[in-house]
Amino acid sequence: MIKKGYIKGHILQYFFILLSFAMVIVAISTDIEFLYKLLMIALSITVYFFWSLWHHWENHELTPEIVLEYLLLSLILLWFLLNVAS
Amino acid sequence: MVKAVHYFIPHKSNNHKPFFTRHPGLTTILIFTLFIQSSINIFFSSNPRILGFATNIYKDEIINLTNNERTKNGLRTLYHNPTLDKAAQLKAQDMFAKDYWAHVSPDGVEPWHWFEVVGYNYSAAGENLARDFDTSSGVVSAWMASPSHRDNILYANFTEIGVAVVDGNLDGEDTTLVVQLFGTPPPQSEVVVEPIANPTATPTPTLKPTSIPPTATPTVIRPTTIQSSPTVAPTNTPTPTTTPSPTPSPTPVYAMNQPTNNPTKISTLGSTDQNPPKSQFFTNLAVIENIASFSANRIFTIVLILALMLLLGSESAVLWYKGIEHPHAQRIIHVGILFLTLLATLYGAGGSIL
Repeated sequence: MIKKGYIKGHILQYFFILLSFAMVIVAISTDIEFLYKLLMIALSITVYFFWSLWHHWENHELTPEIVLEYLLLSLILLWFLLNVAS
Repeated sequence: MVKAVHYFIPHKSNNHKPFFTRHPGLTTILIFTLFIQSSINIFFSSNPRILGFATNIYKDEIINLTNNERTKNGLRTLYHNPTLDKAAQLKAQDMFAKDYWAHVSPDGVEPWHWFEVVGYNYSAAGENLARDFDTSSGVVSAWMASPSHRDNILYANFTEIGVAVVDGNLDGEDTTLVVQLFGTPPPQSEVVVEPIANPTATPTPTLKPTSIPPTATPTVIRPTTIQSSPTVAPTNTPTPTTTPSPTPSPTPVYAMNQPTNNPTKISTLGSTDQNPPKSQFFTNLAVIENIASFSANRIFTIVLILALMLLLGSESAVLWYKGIEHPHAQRIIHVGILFLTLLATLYGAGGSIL
């Protein structure tokens, strides 16, 4: 559940997640080898997926349904990023 | 209306969790995305006459689009010179043969060498390069977005153009190289030298290039065998003269995607536009196909990202506004990541220019 001050308390984490994604997106838009792009995308999506689960686990709200939803959202993001990379 | 609310907006009817943000809805979106994009890819790749090898880039379109940009800026259109096409073709072949991506080859061959190889005399010359693009418009747009390449395209003194679009393998990757060459033939009076019956003096080429260094440092990659090229023809007819006086030589202006002078805009349009010998119908068709292939993939992705952003964003916003606490509503970060992906999809150049 979103508790008061929760977002504020995690704002730094959100910032770094967004910053790292921004860096990955800039990197995959450049002229580097496709294999490196794939690795960067896979790594960032994996980190994001587990970071999200950890967030819910921290709040004692982690359920199989949430895991499935984050998995699906991560896959959709993965697909979009692969589109950008290719 | 009630159903729409159920599917898209957090409401009592869906326990403040719309269908499309639940796992069945997300599965639907994922399958839908994979299906549509796979269909697009299969459709276009099953029609090789449309897409050709790897790209939808055509020489004629590059020339037309370049001339369109010049026209928009009040400049004369460029005359399509097949000799420059040959020079561009040789340059592209040389890049593939020696496996480099630069204006100057690893063994120091400058772009102007290819002008000389095909026997093209010039007082000004320029070169733009592009690789890894999918469409002609993508190439020209990228050049126009780069100040130095744009200056080449909009250089008022250029009068002729040649383009080569060559497929090959560079750095281990199949790609399409686009070489665009510009030229201005020297004024007629400066190249005509009267023949003398008994020449005594040693002929001296009057054209002595003073090249402007390229903006980009040439990347030296594995030099291999030198591309065999046609016989080198002298740029100036070295007809001997009895008085080899230092005539005012037309100093050639070189421009490797670098401004040589401030482009002078002229108000009247020239009438030297010569379309390539492709039929207008075919050219137009190719343009439509380019747009279609571009639209199908990219626009679909953009629309889907926007829809997801709206869905997840509205869910978070409604729950926040109503003060409802929900364990699934911490997805505002997803909206941020989707937004970044959207920017990359919108502005991704898709290739590189030099």
